[in-house]
Amino acid sequence: MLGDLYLKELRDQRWSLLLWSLSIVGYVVLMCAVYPTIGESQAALEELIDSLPPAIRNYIIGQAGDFFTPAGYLGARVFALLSPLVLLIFGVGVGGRTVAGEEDGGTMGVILAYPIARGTALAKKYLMVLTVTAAVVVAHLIGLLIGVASVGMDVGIARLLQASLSLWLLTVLGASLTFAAGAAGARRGTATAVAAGLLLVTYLLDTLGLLVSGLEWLRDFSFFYYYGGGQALVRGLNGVHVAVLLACIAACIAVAFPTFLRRDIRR
Amino acid sequence: MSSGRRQAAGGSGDGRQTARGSGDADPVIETTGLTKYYGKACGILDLDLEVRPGEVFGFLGPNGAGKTTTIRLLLDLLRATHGRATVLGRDVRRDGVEVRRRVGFTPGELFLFEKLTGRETLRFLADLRGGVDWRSIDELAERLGAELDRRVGELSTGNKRKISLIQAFMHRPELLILDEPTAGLDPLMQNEFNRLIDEAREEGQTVFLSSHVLPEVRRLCDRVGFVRDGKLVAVEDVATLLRRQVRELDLVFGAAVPADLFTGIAGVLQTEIEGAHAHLHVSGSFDEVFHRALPHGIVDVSSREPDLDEVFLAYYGGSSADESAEGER
Repeated sequence: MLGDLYLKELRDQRWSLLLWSLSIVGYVVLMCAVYPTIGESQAALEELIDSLPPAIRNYIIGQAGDFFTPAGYLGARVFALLSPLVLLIFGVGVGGRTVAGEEDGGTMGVILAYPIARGTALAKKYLMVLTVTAAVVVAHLIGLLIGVASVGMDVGIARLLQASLSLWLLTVLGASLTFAAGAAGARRGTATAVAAGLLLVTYLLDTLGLLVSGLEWLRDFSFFYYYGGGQALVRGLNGVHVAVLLACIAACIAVAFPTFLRRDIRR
Repeated sequence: MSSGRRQAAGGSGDGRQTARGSGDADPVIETTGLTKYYGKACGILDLDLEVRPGEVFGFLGPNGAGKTTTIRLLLDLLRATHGRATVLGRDVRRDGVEVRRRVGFTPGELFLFEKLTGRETLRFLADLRGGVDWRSIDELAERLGAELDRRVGELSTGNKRKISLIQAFMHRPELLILDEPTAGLDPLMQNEFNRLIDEAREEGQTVFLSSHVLPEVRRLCDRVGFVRDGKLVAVEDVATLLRRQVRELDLVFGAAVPADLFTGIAGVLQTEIEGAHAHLHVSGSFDEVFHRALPHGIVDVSSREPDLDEVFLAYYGGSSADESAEGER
């Protein structure tokens, strides 16, 4: 079971992964279960939403468009804020633990005093990050499938997969930020702060761009704009946006490896 | 017993690291001008060191002198500011993986995977080596009395140390790099550790042992290097060091002896005689001292063992004990 660094890394995450996965399934099923009650008060809600200024309305009902269709509802209530928040907390945590955390705890020095090249060790750790983030996104997808089926929402599986893919890319990006900061030498607290700060700032840029006319260009600098907040459920994946997210992830890797290969191991 | 092996290992006299005797073989550790700065602070400065095959080399110095820095440079955990280091003939930077395959290492500060049990830790680490014979691990665990089935995080420092020692020795590496390896071990286990080192020596393994525990160094090492403030102050053969050391000798006679009994003996540095009791400071052989004392009827003799602490303090305190040592830098 412990045959290799990758497997040990997975093993280290197993309880955390199980707990997160179960909670995520539960949360998503719950969100779907609430959907029928929205329909009941649709008229009142529509009236309320129509009375809002267009920018605020746009912000509340999300980028997916119609709040009252199944896809629109999932986009606004699940994919726009809550799911990325939950998965980013998980991703940022994993990315921070595996490099910065390992080094803070002194065991990075133990591993690297063994006959394993630094690049290999880092690659195996990154592979673990990709695996466990994929696992929680799959849990998220399972929750969606259960929820959608149980309340009879009309959403295609292909669209759910596409939205899940963009959610995974955002989670990987969050994890890559702490991973790269740790690889570059930051302690875990610093790495987490850097990643959380970047994510928060880009989230605010996205929100500001949505709310304030004339500032739409700010959104171009936001990870969350490229993530799309569940637009994929309605319109399918935007290839360019996927490419931008991939490029951001690649940039993290491009920082992580050379700096980690070159520097001193703290302890 | 240990002094016999010391001679077999062939370190000679005032030898700084010039190869000689068995040292003709390629050195196991060789550093040239190895320097490490942490920002402006100096970890180790211009270190020229040579450790010969099969010897137990003590790397001695106070905390913060640069011992751990040197060791971490040899393992490629730190990157040198200047200079280079080879271990087993390989460049530690370029061929780090190959070097670390043939080295066993126990760090001074015990960081282990707290959530794993001892057994899981060793299995993981053995697998990182591409597999190790478990009989060797079991044997070491039994000898050291290690608890393998408890989580490492629950173990005492001494028990963690045992896990760390097992992983260093388990693959019978050509070179053992041991950083303060007995810190936290109880005396019984220190004895077992001493036996492990003796066996390693008999099997031709080379040992690089950093320590500030002087009796341990005296007991185990063939040669010692003293490091202070990041600089290698001296490298000495332990036997020579002890032989050159001044010893105190107390003699009690049956009756009062003449005050000038030991006058003129080379090596007798100081004499106090009060009636039938003589207190001497002697460097080198006791031969002539006893030759003169015997006719007066010796009732009791006691000699304090030469103490490496004093040599150590002499180097570090900058007092006069051995100026040639400074000269060797």
